[in-house]
Amino acid sequence: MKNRIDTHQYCELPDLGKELSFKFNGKRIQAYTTDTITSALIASGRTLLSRSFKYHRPRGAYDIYGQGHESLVTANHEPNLLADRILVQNGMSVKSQNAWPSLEFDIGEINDTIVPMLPNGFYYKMFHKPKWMWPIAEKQIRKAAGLGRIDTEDRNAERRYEKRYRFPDVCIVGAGPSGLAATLAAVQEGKHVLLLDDNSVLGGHSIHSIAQVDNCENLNLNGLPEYQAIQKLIDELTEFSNLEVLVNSNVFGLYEDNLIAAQCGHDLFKIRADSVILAPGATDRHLVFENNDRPGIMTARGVERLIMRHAVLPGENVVVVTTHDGGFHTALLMHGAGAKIIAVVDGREDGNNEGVFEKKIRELAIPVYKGLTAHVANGRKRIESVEVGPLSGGNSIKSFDCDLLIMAVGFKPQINLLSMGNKPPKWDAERQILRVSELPSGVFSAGEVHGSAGFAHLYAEGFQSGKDAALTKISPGKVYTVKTERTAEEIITALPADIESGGTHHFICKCMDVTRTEAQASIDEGYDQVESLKRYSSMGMGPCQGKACHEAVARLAAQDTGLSKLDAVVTTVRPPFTGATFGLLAGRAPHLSPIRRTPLHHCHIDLGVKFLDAGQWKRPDSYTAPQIEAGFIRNGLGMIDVSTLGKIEISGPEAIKFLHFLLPGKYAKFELGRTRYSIMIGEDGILFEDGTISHIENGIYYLTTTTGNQDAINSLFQWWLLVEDFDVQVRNLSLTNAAVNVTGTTARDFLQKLVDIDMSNEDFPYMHCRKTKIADVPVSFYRIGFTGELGYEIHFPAEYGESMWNYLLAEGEEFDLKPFGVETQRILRLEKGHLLPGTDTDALSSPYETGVGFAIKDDKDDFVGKAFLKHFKERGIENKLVPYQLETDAPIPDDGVAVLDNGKIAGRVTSSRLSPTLKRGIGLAWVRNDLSETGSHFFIRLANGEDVQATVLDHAAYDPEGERLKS
Amino acid sequence: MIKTSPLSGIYRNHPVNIFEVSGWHIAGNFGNTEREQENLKKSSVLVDWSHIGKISLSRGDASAAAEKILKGSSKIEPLSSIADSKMAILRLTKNDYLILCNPGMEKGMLEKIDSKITTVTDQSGSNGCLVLGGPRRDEVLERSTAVDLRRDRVVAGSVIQSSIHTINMTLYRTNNFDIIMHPRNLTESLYDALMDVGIGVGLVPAGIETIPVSFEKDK
Repeated sequence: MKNRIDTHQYCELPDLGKELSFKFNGKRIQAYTTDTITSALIASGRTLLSRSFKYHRPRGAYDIYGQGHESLVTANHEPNLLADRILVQNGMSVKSQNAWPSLEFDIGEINDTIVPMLPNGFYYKMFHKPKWMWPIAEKQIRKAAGLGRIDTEDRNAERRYEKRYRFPDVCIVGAGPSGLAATLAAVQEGKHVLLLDDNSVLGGHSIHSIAQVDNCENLNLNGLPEYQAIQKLIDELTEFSNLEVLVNSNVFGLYEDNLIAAQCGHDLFKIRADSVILAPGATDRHLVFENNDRPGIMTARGVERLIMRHAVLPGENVVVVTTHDGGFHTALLMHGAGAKIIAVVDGREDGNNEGVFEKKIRELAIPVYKGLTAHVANGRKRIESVEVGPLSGGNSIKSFDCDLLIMAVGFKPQINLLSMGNKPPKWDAERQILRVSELPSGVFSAGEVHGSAGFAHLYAEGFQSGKDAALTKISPGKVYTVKTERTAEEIITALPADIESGGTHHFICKCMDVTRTEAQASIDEGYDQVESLKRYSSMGMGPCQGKACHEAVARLAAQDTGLSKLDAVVTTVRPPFTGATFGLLAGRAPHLSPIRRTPLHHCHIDLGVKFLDAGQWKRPDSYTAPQIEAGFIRNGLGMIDVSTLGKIEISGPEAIKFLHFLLPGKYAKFELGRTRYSIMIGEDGILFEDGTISHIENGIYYLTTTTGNQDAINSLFQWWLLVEDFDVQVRNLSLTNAAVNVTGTTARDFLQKLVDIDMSNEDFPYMHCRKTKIADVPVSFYRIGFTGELGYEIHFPAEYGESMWNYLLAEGEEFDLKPFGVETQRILRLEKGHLLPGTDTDALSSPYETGVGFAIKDDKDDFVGKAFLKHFKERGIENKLVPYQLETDAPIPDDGVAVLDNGKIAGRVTSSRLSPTLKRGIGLAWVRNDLSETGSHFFIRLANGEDVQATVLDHAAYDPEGERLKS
Repeated sequence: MIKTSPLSGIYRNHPVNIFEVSGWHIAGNFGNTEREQENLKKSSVLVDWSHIGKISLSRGDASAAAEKILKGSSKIEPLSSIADSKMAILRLTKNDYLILCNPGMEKGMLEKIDSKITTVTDQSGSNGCLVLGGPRRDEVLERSTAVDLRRDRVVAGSVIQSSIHTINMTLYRTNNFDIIMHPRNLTESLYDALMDVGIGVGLVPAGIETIPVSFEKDK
């Protein structure tokens, strides 16, 4: 490991853990368990990490923090991961992206020569004529300007995306000195605190600082170097059981009511906190100058992170460009690690501003140049020299050979999350940063996000915000003004946003390869508002979403669109703050659509059923073939699971009054033991449900509904009970009872042997009900005829479902009892002309036109839908639902196809099947009233465009007189 | 005739030892009681209690009916409970109660309740009941529901009516386990979803040998 150091003059180096190896572009790289991909690659001597988005320029590690696109890699088949953040694993496979045939020799680099010669935004303007050219060009442009590729071969990989929830009293984002101090204050107040940090270790920048802590209100920390002080603070927190810490957690959104979204690995944390403290800190400022994107140019904090966390020395001959004492701190760390400091170039003029570390650098006789800054970086795959000159640009006055250029030109606060509290960031001329100083009630903030400051100051600010968050009463809607102060010594004056030293490669947005020249050309074309300029040039819209460049974009946009050079215009900040995968947002889909199973479900599986999805229900479609199963019922005996029916019991002194109000029928003379066909209509008079109602016990009525409406009707009943004062009891027994329908010519003979009631037609006629027992289990029988044959619906407690089904099948063996499914039942009911609400009706179906007007008794007092029914009756019949049959051998139409009369649409088919009994097509169709007379003909348009003739039937194709079901 | 658990399909895929309790076939263990008890101590277990008695009282004078079953029931606040070793009475709203009781007790209890003063429904067969136990059960719940189940807010004895994996449920919390009542037709889906998210935190199915039926909140 070429660039690894084992000693340092000024600090202790960390324990790197165990050795391991991984592959980068097929080559084995040695590393340690504490390494990120980036640190391991730099340690191995690599500078080149990736290629830029558009020009395919060589790019190297920059901030070692994962804010830019430079560190995007594909790791273990997952694309677009940040190498700066991913800890290496033994055997891991890492690949660079957007380079072909190799990272070192990328043919796309030709773009760096060609594209600048093309007009600005050429992809909006070129290759659109002739039309056929664009699809070809688009493909090539996308190929050349791509990120990682989704590995389709990896689609079946086991990757778990979980959604997890937290409800802390106080949620703190950022574990630097302020965040940790805030945490201490909040946990000391007894609050449940959740602390999140995007790094794998706590401490923020302080873990890389050797500056001595002085004047801190936490007296235990004074006199220690920051990296030791912060560790002491972390140790202090470990004793609190009311603290939860999540590291490697990217907070990417702050939403209403303190909802925080954070990604931790493949888990999405949704955090709802009483109070939120945002202490995300700041990162090194991005300076725009000629070739500011070259590999070997790195931020000061990035370099410090490499040395103090990974024991990696990223360069040997170093130039530091700075505007504050922090740059000298970095130079000292590099010096202590064995690098040669060629020069420190300080943008400040000579004066009384010499800091602790500048003094030390001068004591080491390292050359310091004042009043200058970087103008031009030379070199291609790695920086070879840097030219420096005045801050105002113009000609360079000095040049230094180097292999590492460290940028320490101030800090840009990470304002994104603060701005998601709805207040836009503004340029604070005094502090020389973009700032958000107003936050919604319940959101607090502290630390470097409000300007750089010393450890003690950051600690005090954080501790106060922790106390505020723990103790302040939240007032929704109110705005909280952040109260922070910065001394003149703490303020770092910003350099000009672009050092105007000539050349055309001043990259404002490195992610999207947008240069100052390009931005100015866009403004010249008329995109002179910041929002339109951003969209046209796409600067700030790359993988980092402006984290690296938002300040430069805001300042240069203000400058180039004619606003004051001192001002900055910021575009709207929206989540996600960091990239979030679709998998993360989607979570685990199977949990969102649970399956409803009947109590007999596994009995059906035992019989080799094919299931039908009916909403969330799994219902038996068929066990063999529906056409065959229909024959079992017409000629023998069949049994179907109808447990999904809704089942509602109504009782109490006003049960009849309640039924009169909700149903359109009359029930005053409803005898005990009788069952009636019943419909339900809405307040708009539309038919939406049919079923049966039975007087099953004295004063107790049992209503069945269709599968799809069981919840809706129960809710409707409960709603009316709240609105009207009925003295009734309504019990929803839909899940309490399972049910089967035993139907066929031998149904009576079969069931008679199981019960001790008289099943004869005289004693238990059609449309009657009885209570009895089967094998000592209480059951209720309803003799109805949905299939058109003699049939009994048997309802019984759900817990006996499997036992009862198996018992009936076993006992029915001598009658050749066969199970049948829903599709078979649909054929049988169609042969009988029975409608299915929702299938054969819609939201406009009047009960009179549907042919169930007989069930309406409108001569009673007010009931639900009565007013509209009167209107429907007065309007008369315009269309009608009719049963029909086709000629023998005529093809079977699909459900939903058009009905035609004289070539014009005259209706539609709602249900259509081949009748195995009648050996021809049958169905139900809505037709114009003049076509609804029995014996009338109309045509049905098939999917292939042909028409077949249909004949209207009286009311059933099979057993029109109902002799079989009444037998 | 045997009463079958809504998890009967799951039982088929495991070496379950079935116990017969008050006419129910319920899992006594999933093949290895020792391992299940070890998981109860160290990680988490999911136990099928679908055989317990569940009786709802709603509308009318539900609190008077509940008071007759267990003294003090009418005094408790909504979303809280009162319990002894044989039963727990959960007050869901001002006028809705859910009684949970040892299997087989429901028949006697139904006889005690005056069905003229409130609507009484025996939901023993219509509702499934799963029990989450073990020190890591919160990690299963945090992946399963967006409801705040922080232990200092939802203390032992509390009742929550919300959803887990989009399935409506009533959760009754005791000190050592969480009892989740839900519609019977969704039990297998709920079991699958809980096991799916729980697999990473050592959740295993267990039987009533590992967590025998008991309702006291200190259990």
